[in-house]
Amino acid sequence: MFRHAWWLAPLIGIIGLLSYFLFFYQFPVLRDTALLNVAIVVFAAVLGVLGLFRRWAYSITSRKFAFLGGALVAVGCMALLLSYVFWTSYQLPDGEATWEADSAPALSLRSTAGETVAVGSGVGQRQLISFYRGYW
Amino acid sequence: MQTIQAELEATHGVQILGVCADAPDTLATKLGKKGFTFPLLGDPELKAISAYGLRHEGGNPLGGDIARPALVLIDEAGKIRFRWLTDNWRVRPVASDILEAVKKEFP
Repeated sequence: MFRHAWWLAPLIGIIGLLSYFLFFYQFPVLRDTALLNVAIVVFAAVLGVLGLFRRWAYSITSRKFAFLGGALVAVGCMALLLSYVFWTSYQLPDGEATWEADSAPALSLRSTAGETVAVGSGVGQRQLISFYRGYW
Repeated sequence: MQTIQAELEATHGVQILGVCADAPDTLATKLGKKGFTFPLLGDPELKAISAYGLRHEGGNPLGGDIARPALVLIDEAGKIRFRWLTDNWRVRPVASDILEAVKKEFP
């Protein structure tokens, strides 16, 4: 297996990286935790690095550079995915909420039970409103 | 939030409401078995989300706008007593911090 790591590792890494955005992103559980894609790119990176070290002594010069390049691509894919999944994707755009008034607007929204619920001013009730990103 | 719901309601008279941009029917289908004990309100037209300035344009990776995570505490007169915002959607206040904030506003 390590004999083919110079092309197999970057291929698996690229598949692991691209499939996250092109396919797995649409499934909330695989998008938010991304464990499957993380496992794929980590496997690719490990394969690439181990292949590099194990085959280095037995390879001709041009193949050594192929192993080195393959390992770098695989590790790069892992770094890109991990940085996106565990850092970039958490960040919200600059700027806080734009609404600075002291009194809450009077609104009504429909609940999952089908009831219309009054929110904000005019309800005569203390309310703690928790806004979620949704699309669970 | 469920862990402090009883105390918020019984001791401080605070009703908890959850709001997100999904349609109520979609929410009911997806979250029916997740055990939310407080009302979840759908805001697909982004009325409340926009009114509170919490619209995250293009925030839904599948397309469309969603809400920035936030907490807003309102008193019975409709006055905003406490507001919590974040720049990182994974970071939310823990239940004890919410309880402390409510106790401070409604001792």
